[in-house]
Amino acid sequence: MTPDALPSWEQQLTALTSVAPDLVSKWGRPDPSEDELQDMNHLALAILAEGYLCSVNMDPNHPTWAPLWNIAFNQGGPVPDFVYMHTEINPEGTYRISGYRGTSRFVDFTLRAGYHLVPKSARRPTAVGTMNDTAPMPAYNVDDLDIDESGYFSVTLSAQRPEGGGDWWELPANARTILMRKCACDWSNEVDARVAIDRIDEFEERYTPMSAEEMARRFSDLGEWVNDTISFDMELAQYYRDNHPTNGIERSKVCGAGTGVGLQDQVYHDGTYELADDEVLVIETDLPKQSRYWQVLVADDRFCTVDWMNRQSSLNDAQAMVDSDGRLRAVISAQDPGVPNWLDKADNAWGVIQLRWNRASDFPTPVATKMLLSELRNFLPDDTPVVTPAERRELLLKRRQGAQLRQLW
Amino acid sequence: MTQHPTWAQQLHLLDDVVDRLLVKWRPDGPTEDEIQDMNKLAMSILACGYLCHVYTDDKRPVFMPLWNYACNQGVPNPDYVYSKVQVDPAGVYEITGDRGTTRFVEITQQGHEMLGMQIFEERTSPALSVTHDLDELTIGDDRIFSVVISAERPDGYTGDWWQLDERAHGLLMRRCACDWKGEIDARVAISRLDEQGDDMSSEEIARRMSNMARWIEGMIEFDMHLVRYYREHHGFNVLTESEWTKKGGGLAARQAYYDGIYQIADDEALVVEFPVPEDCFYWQILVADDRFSTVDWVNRLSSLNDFQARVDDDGWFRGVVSKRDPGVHNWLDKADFPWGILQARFYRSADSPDISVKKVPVDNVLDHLPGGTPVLTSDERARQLRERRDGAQLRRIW
Repeated sequence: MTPDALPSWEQQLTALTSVAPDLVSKWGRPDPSEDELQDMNHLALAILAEGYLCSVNMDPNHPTWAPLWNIAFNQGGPVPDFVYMHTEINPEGTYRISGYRGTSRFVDFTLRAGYHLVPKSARRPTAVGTMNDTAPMPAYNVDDLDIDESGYFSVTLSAQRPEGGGDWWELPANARTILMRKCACDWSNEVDARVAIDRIDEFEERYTPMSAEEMARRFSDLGEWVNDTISFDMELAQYYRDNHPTNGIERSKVCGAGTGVGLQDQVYHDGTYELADDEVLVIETDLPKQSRYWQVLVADDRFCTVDWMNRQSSLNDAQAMVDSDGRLRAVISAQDPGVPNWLDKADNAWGVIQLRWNRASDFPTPVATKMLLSELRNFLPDDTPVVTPAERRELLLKRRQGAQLRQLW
Repeated sequence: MTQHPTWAQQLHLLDDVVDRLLVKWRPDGPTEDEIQDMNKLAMSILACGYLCHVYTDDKRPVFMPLWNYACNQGVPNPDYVYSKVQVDPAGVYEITGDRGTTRFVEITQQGHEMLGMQIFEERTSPALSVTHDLDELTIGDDRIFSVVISAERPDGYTGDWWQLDERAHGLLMRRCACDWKGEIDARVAISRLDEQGDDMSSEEIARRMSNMARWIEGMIEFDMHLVRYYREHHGFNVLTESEWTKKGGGLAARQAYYDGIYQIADDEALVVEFPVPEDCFYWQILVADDRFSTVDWVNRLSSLNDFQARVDDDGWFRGVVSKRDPGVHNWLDKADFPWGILQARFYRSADSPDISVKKVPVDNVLDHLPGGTPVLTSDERARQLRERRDGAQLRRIW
């Protein structure tokens, strides 16, 4: 091999060999079992595949939307109601985002200074305490645009407003990526937005594919992509365990309005559960008088949301049953508690609880109460319905169908 | 305690995959660009292998993205969205969703767990050839459909039912759209109705990860081999009906595939001509590289279907394969590849036309096309490409 040769396949793979073992060390499971080791291998392979789609196959001069966090790339505590799409941009470019609005609850675009495979100077550090190192970036909403009768919209994204009319969003000089969140609550019936992105300032030139050097560089960064993605979220989960209540939740110290992390028009409540198999945690709360959207979910201790395709691990404002007194009561447990608002934590010993009030008029404070499963019915209002195993099976079938009917890419 | 392979051992299994593929692809030695391009292709098929083989579970099935512009193998037809799911032939499954408005949605039963050269060799025995079309089903005014698929019709069940072949281990769904922007893709869910059983064991996860070398090498080697089969049996700068796919099942029962090899210099072009069949549900033509990777169809005009192509007044399609822009609407952009695959298909067509392919200097293309064939301005070409790239993104890939 000459000194200038690009890395071979084998060299690229060799650079990945320590990734999963390092993540297992950071996970902190004492004497990890074979199941835990294989589970981390699976997660690392998932995020490697995500890294291929979102970075190696991504060209800011010819961008497309790639699937970031979802049922198969389960990191970032994905909200099951959101479809997360990622693209890269060059802040010197002029882009057009266009498509069809659909009928889903909202479609937000958050500009970001970085996500892994951008120049290191623009990356967010992975330590939770220092992750807000960049100035807040703009977030845009598709409903602020002119949308025609067919649902079509088109907006220019650039540093300067282009001549002529039409919708325009400012592209800040430090923006490198865009995260699109497409939120739906009635998964089966809402129509997802279909969205395209094009760089329009260089279009007259003949298409030039990415160079072999750049492709190799992006491939070489995959180890860091996998490690950073999973480490960041494991650290965040551990942060909540150390700084937020166990078997309780409180307004997030790191996410939401003013933090630069997560949606800035959203108030997050975070905490952790830690329950024995015969215990449950009841989350009780008033609801905001008005909001665009609200939701609650359970995740594991790496901030992988509990498999929402096959388990009822999240509830949104269209899925949850609100009690006759106007309050929400949801039950976190491993065993089916036989109530509509079960949040299935699976067999995780501990993990993250997250609740969000989005564009709300007020921000009620939830209360969490731990008890034995056998005590639950005495605690809940008398008119709380009973869900039989057969009914649960039917509910879960509808849920998994709905999860599949969303547009994930 | 049973020790499953470690992460490092799993990666080590992949070490030689690309070297072996490079020897077959470029026996005289690859360039640095070719090495990196094969690295990227192998990584892309690893990503598709994760989604379609490691993640997928016949007890908790989900249609996963298989071949597309990011995982470009199997000569993806840009009009199709290919999704794959694993099934247990003893299972009872329900497929349900919204039919959408696209041209067709077909679901093919597959017997193999993954592609590989054994598929080539098995062509001598009867192949599993069962393909169903969503339009066979009862579809409501709201476009909703539901069908049970199983070995036997469930007792007392009177709704739509498809038989699941005892050899079937996977379903390949093809969703075909021609007006990429205007047609609405089907939304399709699959669930197992009979006993689902436990979550996938760590042993099974490890086994599937250990299959990734076979998954990558099998898929890419199979496709490279098929391209070379066409080079040997169909020849250069021709387009003739494929006997090979006829034997293969899948869509071939209803679709005539034409394959050939283009091999032209940068200043040359191929003029491809055929009379468009009068009674044909769908037709299409594309160019791919010599590994059966379709030329980047998001950013290049590498395929044309019956909605996108311009048909001349005499009812003939005339397309131009070239590297340089020949200036006509029906350009098939082969990019920089010196040779590769030219493929056309006629689906549910009353007849299979003869296709003429003629090599000409690209500067003289208009001399070989009917008088009055429009020449696009650069603005018109840019608009055509923008429409195409938007349309490709507005499809539902997953």
